[in-house]
Amino acid sequence: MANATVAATDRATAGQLSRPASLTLALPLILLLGLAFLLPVAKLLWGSVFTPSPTAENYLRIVQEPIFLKILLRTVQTAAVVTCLAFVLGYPVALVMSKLGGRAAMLVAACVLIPLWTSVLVRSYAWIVLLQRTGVVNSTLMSWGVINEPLKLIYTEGAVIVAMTHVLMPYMILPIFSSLRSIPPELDRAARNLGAGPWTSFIAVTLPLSLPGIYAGSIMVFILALGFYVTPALVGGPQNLTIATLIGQQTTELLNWPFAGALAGVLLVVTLGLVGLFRRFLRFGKGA
Amino acid sequence: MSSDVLQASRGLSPPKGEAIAIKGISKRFGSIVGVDNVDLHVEAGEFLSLLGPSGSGKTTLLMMLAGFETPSSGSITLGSRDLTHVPPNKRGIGMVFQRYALFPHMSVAQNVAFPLKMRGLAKAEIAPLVEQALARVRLQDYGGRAPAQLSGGQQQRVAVARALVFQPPVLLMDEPLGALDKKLREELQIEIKTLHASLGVTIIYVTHDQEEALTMSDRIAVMDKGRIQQLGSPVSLYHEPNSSFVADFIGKMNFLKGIVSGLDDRSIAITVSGQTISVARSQLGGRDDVAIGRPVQIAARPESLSPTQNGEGAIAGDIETTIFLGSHRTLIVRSDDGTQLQVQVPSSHRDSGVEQRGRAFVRLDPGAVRVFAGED
Amino acid sequence: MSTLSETPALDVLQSPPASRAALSPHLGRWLLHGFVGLVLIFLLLPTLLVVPMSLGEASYIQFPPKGFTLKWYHAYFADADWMSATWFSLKIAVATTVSATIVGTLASFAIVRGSLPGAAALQALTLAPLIVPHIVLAVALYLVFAPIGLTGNFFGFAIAHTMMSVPYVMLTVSASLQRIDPALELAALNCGATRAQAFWHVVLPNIAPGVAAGAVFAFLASFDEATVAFFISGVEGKTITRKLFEDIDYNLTPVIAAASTVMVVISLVLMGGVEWLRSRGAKAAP
Repeated sequence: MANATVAATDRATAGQLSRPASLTLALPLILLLGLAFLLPVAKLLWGSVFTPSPTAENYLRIVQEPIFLKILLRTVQTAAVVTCLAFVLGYPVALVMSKLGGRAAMLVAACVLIPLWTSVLVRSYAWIVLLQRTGVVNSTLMSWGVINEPLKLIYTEGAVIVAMTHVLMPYMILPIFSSLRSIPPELDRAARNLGAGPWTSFIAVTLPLSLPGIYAGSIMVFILALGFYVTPALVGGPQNLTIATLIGQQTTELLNWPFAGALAGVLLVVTLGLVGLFRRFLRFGKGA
Repeated sequence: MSSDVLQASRGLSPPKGEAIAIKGISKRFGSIVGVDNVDLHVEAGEFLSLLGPSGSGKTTLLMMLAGFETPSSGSITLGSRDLTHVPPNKRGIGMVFQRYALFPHMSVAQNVAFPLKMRGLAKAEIAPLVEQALARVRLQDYGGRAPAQLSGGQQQRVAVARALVFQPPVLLMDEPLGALDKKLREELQIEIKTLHASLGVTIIYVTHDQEEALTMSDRIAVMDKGRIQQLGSPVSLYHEPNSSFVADFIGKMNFLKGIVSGLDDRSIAITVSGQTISVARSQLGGRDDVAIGRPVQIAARPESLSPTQNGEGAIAGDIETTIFLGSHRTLIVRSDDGTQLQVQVPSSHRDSGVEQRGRAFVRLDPGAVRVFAGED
Repeated sequence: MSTLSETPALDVLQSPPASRAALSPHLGRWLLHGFVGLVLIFLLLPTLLVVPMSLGEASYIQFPPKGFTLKWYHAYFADADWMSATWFSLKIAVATTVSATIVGTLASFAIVRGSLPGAAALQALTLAPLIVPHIVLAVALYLVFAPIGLTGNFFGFAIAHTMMSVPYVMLTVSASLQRIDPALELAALNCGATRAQAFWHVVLPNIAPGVAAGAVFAFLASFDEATVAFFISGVEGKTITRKLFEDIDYNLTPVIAAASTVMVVISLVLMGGVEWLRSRGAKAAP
């Protein structure tokens, strides 16, 4: 046992940077994260509890006033619906992408990556153009004679869901794609050789083995949807507040920093809690 | 960098090996002891192998010589220079790494030129030295290639050229042939031996391959559990191992259980498989605590066992199988008390090729065995 | 084989019903590919919609656009507000790229090749800006920056965006560092190089694709960033994303489409560069 451990350390530690040198190199990062991340977040949370005397008032207000509880629940519900939609629409894309090779695979990958690297703002703007009274959807439907009056599409919950599904779907597709890619193709062939049809083989082999990717993608989409600001702010309008837009409203319009801090605290705890729970599935990065 | 290294690399003085003295060196990783109080003196110009299984501490010892690990205690001296706290880039010791570690973004010539560039030599001085170093490993026409375009054996030779171009007094080699196939490995063993003889550089060579160590070394230090178990020439290690670990690790060895049945000043009588043999006290390896009635281990090389026709004074058993190995054959014999024995017999063209089966009697050459007492 | 097929029951076991297996994959695959095609259109179309929108004649948003004109681009490039916002964003993105790349590369090296106490905790903390909702970062940064005059300020933005971009650099650079043989650095030291020389001459050239990819990600993370920019912009110091945000809300003209197209083009050119680097890296390492 001890020998094996020594073997592992034999070359692994050779020529490592000394501790002071390592600390020196990491110091700019530590300072940056400390001053520009930990300190501001801590100050925001501190202000939600100490106003200046310690109080739970801001947190109690979230659950006691029905309007805030409703916004909270709607945020969770929207995030859940967006996650489900992104999965149902995204899984087949990941599946086809993992089976293709060469140019076709590059083309599909481009269709997934181009939206990912286009500003969220630009894509939300596009949805406004599509969904507004005189927008693409309404004018098309009217010219086809399907409807006579423009439908109210923009500034609805439906619009938020569709636009967010569009914006967040790449985060679902990419982890599922990478877990599907890591399944050895022999497994499917083995299942087929043992008598399973393509559908049975998919249900019995491919789907269970891609579960890590499904978990990773779903968690990613869900937490991003929970805290999403830009799309709900632009497409949702004032009557469709989410927790993120509510935080924005509390700070910019009402200047109620302690309450905004409490809302941020709740959002932070939920997000980090989910990440902590599903830590082992998550690998971050926008690259495929 | 020391000025003599520079001078040497300018070809002003002939390359010469230097001695290395390692005194009481230890390396602990937390609670794990990687190297445990090792003393070792390597002569100038010597070829010394550190041989041992993985985790024996041989690589850690090499890494301390190169300066990549800091010893927890002890000292390293090169010639008259204390190296213990000298950083790796100031040691002026050449090293060939396990997977060569050629810089993939540089050409072969740039790789070999790198140590000279780091020593501040002018371009005009570097070019002829690089050419000379590449010629030494027969790669003079490959300077412009990328390392990835070379075969494994060629890459290995580039690594040797890079390590020797600044004419270091000592060359460290960390399992340099491990990634190559057997035939190429044997070719390069001879090439490295030849280089060593012509340059006179001191070489410390880490390997877990006992055959390689036997082939190449002036002396071998067999390491296990962070310590040097035995230090000696290949011949003495092979014939006079001082522990059953060394006996087992080097070459093929049969181990038989025996009981001490008689004892005097010069010899020991041992009963083994119903036969009694007499061995000299000098054949006792390791600890000397033999007493009548105590169990001992008898270590016998396959070539010191021989098949015989009659069972008198021999160990009886059944032949399980025969292995043909060209110059000789090995009989695998299961003795009646259950010990498996390898018996080497010379083969000749008169061999029928028919596998021998059935009963066999094996005679032990008492003068060629080693006896280990007080071990388990 | 022959002995098995003599028994009909075993014969059935050997080959599952052929008819169903032959028909359904055909239809199934057709349906699957059709569905995926529709999803891809759903993904791509809204993203690229801004391009035709920016070229139409009408001064209000109209679809399908009629006519062809570059006047909205003229308007965009002639407008002092748009230009100052664009330059402000570009300057911030360049500064962010430089600082995030340097800070992230050094720290990755310390984490991968060094002996750092609490390296795992530091790594987790580094990724936090990717996880923590941007709205939380935005209000928290505003809270700290406003009193010390860092809102609407180049340095304030550079600090905030560097913090948010550093994870991308760390991810790509750490991955590159883990892929190269650590013995390369040891070999450089053994050849007489100092730590700094070994890093510059040997380590850096071999992780260059990872560093470059990290730099591009950092640039885009800053240039496209909208939420924090919305909160810490000022009347003077305003990013292109904040300007877009305001105009989408109050002043929906095709100039927005022109500005959006400029943003899309910048993003896609840079991402294309990363993909090119990546495919070259894949070829170089067989």
